[in-house]
Amino acid sequence: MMESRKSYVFLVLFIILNVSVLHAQEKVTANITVFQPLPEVSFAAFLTNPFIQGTPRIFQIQLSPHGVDVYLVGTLKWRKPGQGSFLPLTTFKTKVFKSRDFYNDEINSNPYIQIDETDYDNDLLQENLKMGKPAGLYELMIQVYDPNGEFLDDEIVDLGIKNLGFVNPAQTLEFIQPLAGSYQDVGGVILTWSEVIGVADFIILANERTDKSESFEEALKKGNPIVDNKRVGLKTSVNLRELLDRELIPGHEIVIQVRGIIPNPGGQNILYSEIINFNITDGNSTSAEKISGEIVMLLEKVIDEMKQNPPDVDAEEQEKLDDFIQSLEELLQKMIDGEITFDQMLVTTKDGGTLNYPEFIQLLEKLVQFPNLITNINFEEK
Amino acid sequence: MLNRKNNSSSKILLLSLLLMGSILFLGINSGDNETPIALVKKIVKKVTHRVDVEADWETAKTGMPVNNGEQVKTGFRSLALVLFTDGSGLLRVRENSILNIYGKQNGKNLNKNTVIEKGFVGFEINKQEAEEFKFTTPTAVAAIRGTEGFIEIGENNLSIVACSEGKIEVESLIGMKRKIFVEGGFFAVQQANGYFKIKKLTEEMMNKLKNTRNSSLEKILIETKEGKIEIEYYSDDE
Repeated sequence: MMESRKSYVFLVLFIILNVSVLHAQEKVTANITVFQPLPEVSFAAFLTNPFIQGTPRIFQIQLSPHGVDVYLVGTLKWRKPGQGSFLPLTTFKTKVFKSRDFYNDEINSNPYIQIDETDYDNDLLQENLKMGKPAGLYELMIQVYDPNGEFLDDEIVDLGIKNLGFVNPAQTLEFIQPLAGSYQDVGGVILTWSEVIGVADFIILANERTDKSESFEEALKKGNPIVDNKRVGLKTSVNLRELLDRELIPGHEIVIQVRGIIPNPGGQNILYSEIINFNITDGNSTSAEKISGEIVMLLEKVIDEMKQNPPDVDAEEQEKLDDFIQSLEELLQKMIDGEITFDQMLVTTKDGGTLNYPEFIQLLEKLVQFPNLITNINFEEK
Repeated sequence: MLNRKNNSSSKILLLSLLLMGSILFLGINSGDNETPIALVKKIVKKVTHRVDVEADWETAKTGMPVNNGEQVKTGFRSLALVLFTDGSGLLRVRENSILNIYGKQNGKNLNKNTVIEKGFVGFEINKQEAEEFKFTTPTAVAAIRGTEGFIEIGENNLSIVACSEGKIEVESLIGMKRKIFVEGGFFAVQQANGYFKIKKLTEEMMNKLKNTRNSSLEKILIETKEGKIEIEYYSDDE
């Protein structure tokens, strides 16, 4: 009787001990390490899916102990500027895998760690993308569950903008060339834009802006585009001429936009570049020559005006004026000798705005007519 | 005896009145000295100022008061906007000009006389009631009752007076010293004999009037493959 009681107590103790050991083995803790400084991280790709294949190595998740069956739920949260709470931007759930240490770029690329499902708040995502740069605060949360869905641990890291260090925070998808407002030769306008990780296809839309009162967007979206939504695949540089639906006309202003298609499990996200403008010139004849001619005339007029009506100034001032005239004459000679060309150029105003061809010509003609409005001309050689 | 007493009382009363009058006059006068006739509202590039012909030219600053008899001088491609403190008008002193500003209190009115020694001055003068608003050049005097235009000292110090609105009375100080009226849309060019020839504003003169108003400096930067050309110019955006 006594023996059977002892056996019973041992059995109970054995069961309790084993259950607690078993339970202790299932307890998995998570730790996240964000790498500083971050490598080149595309803001849009990161927001759309920071765990996408091909995303640079941003963080490491350490699960301890290793070898325990778990699955993870990861959430990228965003706190809007001026708001108090974090809202989930993107969420993913992995399939069950053996706990281990791994990097974000291994998710879905390593066969052991596969995404089961993802979700994202499209409105919030678009709102953030429209800002064009990281704004507010970002938080990454990793939750660890056992295969039965029992919560084991979580870890939250604050990805403050300063810590994140995006390399291209201004606008993820942007034109590198031509420069906004620049003058481009009709024969060869090379379009180059930034590479965006996760984009599967780039699409180009371009049109003429015939009226200064038109916004860039209005000009782009009106009918009869010069480039009608041409897909260029993953190319990030292309000659505009190859895409043209109708001919470019020197003197005309062009507006253009590139958009990138980022596929996701639920469909696709579209990333838009800013709409930029540029002007078409004809290096061989009309426009570039016209600009050159106007500037030559302007320099001649200013020099003549200063020589014919010398201002009554003191010796020191006169010396400065003589130097000024000499610098104008040197610039004039360069222009006459064809050492300065205007087939590709950029004209900007004091406040950073740009002048299109008709505006620029109109201004030059006015200054040629009234050279005494000119207060200074300066040339800085490259 | 009574008469003598009365006489001395009258003398005391008269002296008291004179004293009071003097105090009042001094008071008014000192008050006038404290209020400048004009202010330099805007300066572009090199503008200098001096309190009298004996003083040295000093760099003028925006908001600087211009008192009776003081001078303003503009350098090459420079500009000073001078605003009269009584609200009577604005002067646009263009490049290479020298002017003296005088003001004389006449009862409630402040009579102003701007002496242009050389250069080119655009003006916008509000309608003057009893006050005088004169410009004096080396060869002419122009009386303005409210108008817009410019006065230029040309070759041999001869004057050119242009009027876009209102009416200007111009009197020659040389040769045939006669008065003429320049009405809106006309300009008068002084001849060597002092006589003013009145003409309808030409396109050139209209442009000159328009450009007189340009008081804001603008800049464009032309970036080419070979270098950068920067052009700075006057624009009409004040």
